[in-house]
Amino acid sequence: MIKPFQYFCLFIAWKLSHFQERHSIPTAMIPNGRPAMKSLGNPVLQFVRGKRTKSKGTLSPALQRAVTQLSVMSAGRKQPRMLKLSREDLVKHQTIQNCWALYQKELRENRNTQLRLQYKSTEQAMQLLEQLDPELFEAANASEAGKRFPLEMRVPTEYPPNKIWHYNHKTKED
Amino acid sequence: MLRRSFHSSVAKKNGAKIWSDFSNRKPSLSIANSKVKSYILEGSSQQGPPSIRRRSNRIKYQSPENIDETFKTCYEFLETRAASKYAALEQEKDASKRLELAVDAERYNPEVLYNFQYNDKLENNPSVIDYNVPVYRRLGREHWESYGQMLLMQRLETLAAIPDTLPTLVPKVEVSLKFPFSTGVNKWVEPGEILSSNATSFPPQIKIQEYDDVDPATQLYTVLLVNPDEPNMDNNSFKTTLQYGLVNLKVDFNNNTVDARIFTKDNVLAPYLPPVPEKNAGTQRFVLWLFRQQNSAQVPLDNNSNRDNFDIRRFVHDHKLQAVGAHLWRSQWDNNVSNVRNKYGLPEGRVFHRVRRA
Repeated sequence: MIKPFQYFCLFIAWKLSHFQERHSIPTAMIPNGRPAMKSLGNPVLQFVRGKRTKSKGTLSPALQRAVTQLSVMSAGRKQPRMLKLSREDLVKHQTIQNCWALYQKELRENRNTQLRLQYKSTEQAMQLLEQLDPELFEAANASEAGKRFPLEMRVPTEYPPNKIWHYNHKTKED
Repeated sequence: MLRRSFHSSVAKKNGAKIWSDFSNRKPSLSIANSKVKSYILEGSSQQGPPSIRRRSNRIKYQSPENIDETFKTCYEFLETRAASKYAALEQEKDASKRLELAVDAERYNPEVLYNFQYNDKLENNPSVIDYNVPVYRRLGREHWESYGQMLLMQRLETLAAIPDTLPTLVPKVEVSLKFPFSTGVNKWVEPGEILSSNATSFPPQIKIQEYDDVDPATQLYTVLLVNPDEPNMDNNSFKTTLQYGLVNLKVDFNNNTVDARIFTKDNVLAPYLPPVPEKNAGTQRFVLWLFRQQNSAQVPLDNNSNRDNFDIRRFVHDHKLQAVGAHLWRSQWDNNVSNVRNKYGLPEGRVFHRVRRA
């Protein structure tokens, strides 16, 4: 069982050994204090923590100051200031919200009725198709599981073409 | 775009000023204060909102940007919808659907919202909050359900008034209690409060606020106040006593405080007996039940029910009562109990000890 931190140390050691092999950096440059021969042969699985040179992260001083100031401030003061509405304006605000909710509700209901009607008419068409031509019905109901993009899809256009069907079309003969 | 503008103009013509034409509307649907009304409906004035008292604060106050224009659009939108509801109301015959339409036509009216939010809902002024108007009844019920009803049910269940007195309650009517006399506490009692014997030494004022669409002219109510914690030494248990009984009460939607002004001797099943808990008998619950009487049937006043050992379940079953509301408070023995006993000519109370004496 390898803990994440151990895993990280292992990874670093492995990386270092490969880097050295590829670029043939002398081992003396690596702050490890181990003889070069040994480290080249088998990677050393030891992590040595150097002295901390920067006290806090790598933030710029201005940003660091802002962070310190925010940490000193209480959570309540970091919230956006509460809107103070007079009674009249609160009622206006509630009316506006009611209006918007009602408007959205109407839109939603219209959309739902339209969808319901569409589904109904599709279902009727499919029932008709089943009666008229069971083969076509099977083809229309064929499973499309795993299909990414319908390649046979027609490019959508705003209007139907001027010439609907090429009646005199003949396939090219080779 | 063309279609949308066409539609709105037609709607505006049809439902013109359905909320502002007060020739056929109750005055409680309007804001009484003309300054506030014009500030809401006609837009903010230079002086600031009239609800802010101090002039300096009024001047400092800033409304949110564009709130007036947005409000105007929304008001027109909601007014057209209300007009269509009123049009449907004229066609509708079914009573429950009529009620729904009447509520829906007014529930987004900003004047109704203002009146209901910023006025006393319990001790209502009928010229502002008129519970005869369906929309105010609906708002009142929603307000009650948001807190008071839940609090009442919680207290009834944790203090085991349910099922010690009646099996359960489906709350429909808001019952409020007050002891208005000089000895009483001058406030509406919270369910489950412990009151002193002095405060409860005179009969309470009971407010019965009906929110359902019943006919107040024919609907009769029964009020029973029982104490299920009276020690019963014979059975080594407790018995229920009837402390107060009122029957065949009639209340309005607005004028609904039950006290001596509303009922007469013909309504009193059992006159008020104040709580006089005996020493070391513990805290006693005083549970007040409100019932609707079925089909305007009268409850007879013959006093054959045993007041001292009262079977509330049997009483309810016999008279076909429907429990619709409740309230309760608690009482303990205190130094004043003997005074209350003297006042009502009651015998001296027992004192209970840890070890029972023969």
